[in-house]
Amino acid sequence: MMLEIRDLYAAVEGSEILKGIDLAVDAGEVHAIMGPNGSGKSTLAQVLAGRELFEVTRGEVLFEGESLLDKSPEERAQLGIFLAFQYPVEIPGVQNLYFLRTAVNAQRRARGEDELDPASFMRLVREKARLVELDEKLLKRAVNDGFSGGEKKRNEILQMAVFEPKLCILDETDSGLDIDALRTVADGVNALRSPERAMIVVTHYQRLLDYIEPDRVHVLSGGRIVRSGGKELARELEKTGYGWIENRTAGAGS
Amino acid sequence: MSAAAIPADAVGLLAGLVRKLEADGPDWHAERREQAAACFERLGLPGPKVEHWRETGVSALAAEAWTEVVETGEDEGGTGWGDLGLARTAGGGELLVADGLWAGPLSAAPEKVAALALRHLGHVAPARSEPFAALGVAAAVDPLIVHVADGANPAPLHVVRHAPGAGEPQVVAAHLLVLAGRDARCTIVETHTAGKGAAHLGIPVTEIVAGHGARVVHTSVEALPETAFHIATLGIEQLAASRVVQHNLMLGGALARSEIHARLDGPAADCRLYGLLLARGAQHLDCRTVVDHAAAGATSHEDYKAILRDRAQTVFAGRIVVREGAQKTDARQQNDNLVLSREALARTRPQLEIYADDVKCAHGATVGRLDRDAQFYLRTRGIPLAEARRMLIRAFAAAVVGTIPHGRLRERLDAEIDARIPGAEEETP
Repeated sequence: MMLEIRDLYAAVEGSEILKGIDLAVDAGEVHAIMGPNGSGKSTLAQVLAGRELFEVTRGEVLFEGESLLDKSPEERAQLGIFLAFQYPVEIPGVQNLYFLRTAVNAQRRARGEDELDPASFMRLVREKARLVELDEKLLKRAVNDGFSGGEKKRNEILQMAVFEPKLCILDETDSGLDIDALRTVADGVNALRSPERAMIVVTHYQRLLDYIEPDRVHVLSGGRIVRSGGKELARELEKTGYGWIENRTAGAGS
Repeated sequence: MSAAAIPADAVGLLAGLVRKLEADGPDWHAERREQAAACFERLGLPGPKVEHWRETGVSALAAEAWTEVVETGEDEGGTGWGDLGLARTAGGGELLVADGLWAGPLSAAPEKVAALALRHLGHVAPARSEPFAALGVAAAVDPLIVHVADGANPAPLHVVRHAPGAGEPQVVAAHLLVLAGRDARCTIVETHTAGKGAAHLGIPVTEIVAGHGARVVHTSVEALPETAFHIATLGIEQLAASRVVQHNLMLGGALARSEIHARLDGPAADCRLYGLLLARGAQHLDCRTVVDHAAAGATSHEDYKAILRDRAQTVFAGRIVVREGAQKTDARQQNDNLVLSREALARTRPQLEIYADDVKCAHGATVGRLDRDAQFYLRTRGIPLAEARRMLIRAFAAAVVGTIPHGRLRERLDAEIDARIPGAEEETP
C-alpha cells in the first residue's frame, strides 16, 4: 500500500477538523475525495503535505510503510508527495524558472541523484510546459505573481509534471477554471497517470471527475469519511447534492 | 557610557578640531569651510526635540573624546568592497583623467572645473540647515571633484573611502562633488569602510549636480564595522530632463544615518532613490529623504527596503515637497520592512507637502514578517526551510538590488543578505 491513513484526527487552534479518517491508496489508483464546504477536505490535503498550522492529535499516516507525520514538508516532497494548492501562493521576486530548478535539484540531491544541468532542465521544463499549455513567458515571471486563476492551476500541474511525484494530491484544482482550462488541466493530470503513481483528487463538484476518472470516491463530512464507492458515487452526488449527508449527520447527532 | 563622561562642549570640541586643519586648496574653499564650521556651532548637535532627529539620538557620539580629523584613503587591507572590477580612486591627490572624465582633488582642479566647484561645493548639500552636513563640509580639507564633460560617457568610477583606523577616536571626512555636464553619462560607486577597533565618526558629504539631460547613477555602500558612527549627507540638484538613479546601501555602523536631499529644478527631471538597510545586533540605521519638486513635470520614485533581525532598529522618513507651480509632478514613495525577530523595530514615516493641485503623489509603507504561506509553498516543493527563507529574503531585497548595474556589487550584496539570515531557531513563530 502506498498511503495508509489510520484514525487520523487533526485540529487547528484547538478546534477539531478531522475526526477519524481511514483511507488506503495504492499505486496506480485515483481516489476522489468529495464533500460539502467545511467537511475537512482541504485540511486533509494540507495535513498530508505537512502544514504546521494543523495539529495531528491522533492516528497515523504511513507512506510506503514509513511514518509521515514526523517529517517536514520538504522531506515529504523529497519522498515523492506533491500537493497542488487550491490557492497557489504568489511569490514576488522569485523567478518561476529559478524556483523550479531549485526545487528539482533539492529533490534530486535529497534522493542522492546528480543535479540537472541547465540544458537538460530547460528541455524538461519546455516539454512539460507544452503538455499543460503554459505560456513560456510565465516561466520568466515571478512565481504565480499576477497569474490568472487558470495560469496558476496550470503552473501547479507543470510542477507536478516536472517533479514526477509518486503521490499527487490535487486540492480543488477545478475551482475557478473555465471549461477549456479545466480540460487542459485534466489532460495534464491524465498524462501523468501511471501504474506507479497514485492520485488523490479533492473536489467539491463532480465536474472534474468527468475528465479525471477515479477508481474510488469517498465522501467526507464533519471530518470523517461517511461513504465510499466506485465512480458512480460521484454521479449520484451530482444528482442528490450533499443535503442527504447533512440530514444524516444531524440525525446521527441528535 | 555614563552621563558624566560627556564633554561639556562636544560641539566646541568638534568645531575646534576641524578648524585646526590647514587647507591645500583655494582661499574661497577655506572661507567656505569656516562658514560651515560656524554653521555647525550655531546648529549644535540635534537633540530629541528636533522632529527629524527624534528617533536617532546622537548623545553616544558626543560622549567620545574625538582627537583628530582624517580624510579617507585607499583600502590597503582589503575589506572585500575594494575590488568591484571598476576604475578606482580614493581622492586625496590622486588624479584620474579619461574619456571626458576629470577626477581629482580640488587643489589640483583645472580652472573650468574649479569655477564650477566654486559655484556648487557645499551649496548642493544642506550645509546651512543640517549640522552634520555643515561639519562634513568644514572637515574636508581637499574635496574630491568628479567632472564629466558635456555629452561624455566615461567608464564607471569607484570612489574607495576607507579609514584604516588608528588607536584614537577619529572623525573621518570625505567630500565628493560630482558635476555631470549637459547630456553627460556618469556612473559612480562610493564605498565606505573602516578598519576594526577605533572609534570612528564618518561624516561624508556627497553632492551631485546633474546638468540638462544628464544621466547619473550613484551607488553608495556603507559597510563600516558595527561599532562606528556614520552620518552621511547627499545633496542632489537636477536640471531639466536629467535623470539621477541613487542606491543607498546601509549595512554597517552602530549608528548610521543618511540624509538625502534631492532638488528637482527643471522640467522632466527624473529622480529615483533606492535604498536597502540591513540591520542586525544592536544596530540603528536611519535614512531620511527629502525630495523637493521645484519644477513642473518632474518625476520622483523612491523604493526603500529594510531587513531587520536581533534587536536592530531602522528608521525611514521620506518627505516629498511639491512646490506651488510644480504641476504635473509624479511622485511615488514606497517603504517596506521585513522584520525577522520579535525584538527588532522598524519605523516608517512618510511626509507629503503638496502646494500644487494637478499632481500625482502616492506613498505606501509596510512592516511584516516572512510570509508563512510562501515558506510552506516552497517547502512542499522539496526546498529546505533555510533555502526557502534565503529565497524569500533575497526576493524581498530584489526590487532594490536588481536596479544596481554592477554585477559584482549585486553578488556581494546577495552574500551580505545571506549572512544576515537568522537560523531557524531565531525566528519567532
